[in-house]
Amino acid sequence: MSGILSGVKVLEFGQYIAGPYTAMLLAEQGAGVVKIERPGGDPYRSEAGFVVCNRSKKGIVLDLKTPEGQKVARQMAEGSDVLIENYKPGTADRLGIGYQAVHEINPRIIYCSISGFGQKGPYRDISGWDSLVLSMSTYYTEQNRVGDPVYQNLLLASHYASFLASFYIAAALLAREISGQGEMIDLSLLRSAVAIQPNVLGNSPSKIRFPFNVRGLMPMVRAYQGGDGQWFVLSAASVGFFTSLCSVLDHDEWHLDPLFDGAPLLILPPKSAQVINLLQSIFCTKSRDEWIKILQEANIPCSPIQSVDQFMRHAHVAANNLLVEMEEEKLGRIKEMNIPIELSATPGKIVGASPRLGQHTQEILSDLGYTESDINRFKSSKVI
Amino acid sequence: MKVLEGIHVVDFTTFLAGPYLCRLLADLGAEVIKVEAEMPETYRMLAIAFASQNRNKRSISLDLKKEQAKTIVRELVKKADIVVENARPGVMKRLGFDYDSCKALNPEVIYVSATGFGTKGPLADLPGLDPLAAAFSGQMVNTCGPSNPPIYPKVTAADVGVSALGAFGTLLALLARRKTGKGQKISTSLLHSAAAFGTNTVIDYAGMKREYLDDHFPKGSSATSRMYCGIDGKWFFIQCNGEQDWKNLCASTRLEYLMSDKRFKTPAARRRNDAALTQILSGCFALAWADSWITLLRSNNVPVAPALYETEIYNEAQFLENDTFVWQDHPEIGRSQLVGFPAPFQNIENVLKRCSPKLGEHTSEILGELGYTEDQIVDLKKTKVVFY
Repeated sequence: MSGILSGVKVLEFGQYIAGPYTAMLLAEQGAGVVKIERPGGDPYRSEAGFVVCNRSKKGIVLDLKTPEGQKVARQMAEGSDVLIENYKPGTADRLGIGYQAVHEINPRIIYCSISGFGQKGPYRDISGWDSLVLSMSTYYTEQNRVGDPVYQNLLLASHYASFLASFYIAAALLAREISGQGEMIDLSLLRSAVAIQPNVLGNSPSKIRFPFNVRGLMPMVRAYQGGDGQWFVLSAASVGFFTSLCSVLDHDEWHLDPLFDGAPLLILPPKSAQVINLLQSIFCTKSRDEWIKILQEANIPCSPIQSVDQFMRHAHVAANNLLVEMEEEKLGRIKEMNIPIELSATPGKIVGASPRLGQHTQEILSDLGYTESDINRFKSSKVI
Repeated sequence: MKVLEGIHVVDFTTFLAGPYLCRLLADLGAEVIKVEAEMPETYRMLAIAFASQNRNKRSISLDLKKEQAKTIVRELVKKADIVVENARPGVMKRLGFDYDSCKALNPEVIYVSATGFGTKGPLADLPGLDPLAAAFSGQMVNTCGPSNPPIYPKVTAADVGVSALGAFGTLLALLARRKTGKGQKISTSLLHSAAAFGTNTVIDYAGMKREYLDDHFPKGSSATSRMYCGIDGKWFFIQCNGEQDWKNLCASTRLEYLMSDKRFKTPAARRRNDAALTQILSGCFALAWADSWITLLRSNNVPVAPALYETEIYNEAQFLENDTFVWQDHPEIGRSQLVGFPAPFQNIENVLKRCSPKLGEHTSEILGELGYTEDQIVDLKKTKVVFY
């Protein structure tokens, strides 16, 4: 048996990352996904990341601003199990495919909406760009609590929204098997940006707030530089690792040194800066790779800090099948992420490259029962 | 409905990725038993974080080196639908609770294994710590490039990615089991998760150019997509993507002349003169309060948001109106706010039925449910098979 979601029909009204990526994660567990694009196409088509988020799907172009376009969309929603949209709040309603409208024609549908800032609140109408959502969710400020905020070039909120959305859609599919009822799932990038920080967000009177800076969290968990200028990460976050570190650096007296009170996790300012300087001065005495060898032999967690290219070419990555090679019409051969979860009995499968704009329009419309002349009429009136 | 009501989970995990995975299941009604040792895990020191990742669970504390303790856990595994572990490769086998052993006890069991660096290859033995994955996967050099100092990411993305992806896999396996009656093993790792966060970065094709920012403390990716600071020292992010956003930006800052300045007329020209534009805008924004800029920019439809600090968001309307946090009265840390439920539903219930357990808080209760008498439980405590 392959692809546990085989037979599940998914309709994706997605653009950029969050909606399309969710649909892709479902597609590669067997679901049949149709991506509906506006006449100009998903604006994310201009970037290479598009092909990754849109693997294993069929694509159709529909102008949802025309009544016929909306009619076709509703007809498709009638026969679908899951609908995913990541428009701004209110847009799906305006296009005739809002939850109420779709629920009326298909009460069993699982409707997943991924907005930017959520369906409520003063920011609901602001475009849901990752940068704005992460900015508001403390990501850049707390990245360097002791100084100016620091930007990070990672689209965390929209990626995480996709992981969460696929989980909650699976939960809703399970619930539907039990109750027969459909579901409305109301996700947002803002919620995802909060959900991605369950270890740092949360408020209690006794909460300890670590003086995070741009090189790391605390002396035992941060980036250090070897004598050759190369960087590595040390992560000696347990008593056992700290003990090994003292021993391998020949500083067993640190256990009794008041400078190290609270080790490994709670060495706080102002002492933490002294400890960091002390460790850095020791690490300057040997090259990065020498330290990696020494620390790893002593079983102390550490890793060289390497580039994405070094990562992608590493033998370890190949051994774990983390990446696949796809053939894409525009980009040629491209190396990209593989399916991120392995199921032993019902493994997922990549079903093909991303669809060309409107590649399956004809095929999907004839499956819906439209005749050749209907389709020609749609084409001339620019519905498709 | 509570969709996972009646689903029993044995949670062998520690730290963040595994416990959060189990909590995502517990929030939907699953009965999770956290299997702990005699000593508290290090993560218990981070009180509010531990409380968040371990809410809705019960805790049993026992010495898994003792045969009697193994017998108890075997009974839990027999009754379980799902077993979750995030130990280093080989540890669960040594304890007698790897997939094959659990499957022998319970053929229908769904076994979730969340490793750090996968199960094969030269680095499979490395522990599953997020900073190692962030360093190894390129995430830390992603912003500023290999020739600049790395940025250590505060948010442990690979870790929490494993939680959500693993939870997704778990539910797929539950769906499969309803059809086939069979369990299976779900595997994922921090590296799988790190790659999955990189749909736009962990890619490589002929002719691809990686663009890195020059600044060691970058504020954004360009002059019209970055943070600026008001006169009060507060920061905000503007994100202008199209020409209309750019025009609105010029209009709201009364810098309309920039639109006809040769250096900034087209997107390509603005890219070439990014530093100059950044300087002009920084100077302009430094003349008034951040909040007044945000109000003004918003009324001109410029995409903008404040750069908030952690202590500020608990009172911020956008978070409150979207129920982003939940209140709890925790016996140890008091009245406090936890990260809430990621998604509200129409029919499915999210539940907050109990606070995170004290170490071994439910040892006796769980043993009682397994049929142990009070005398037997007292004996097991005396002989240090179980604790608390």
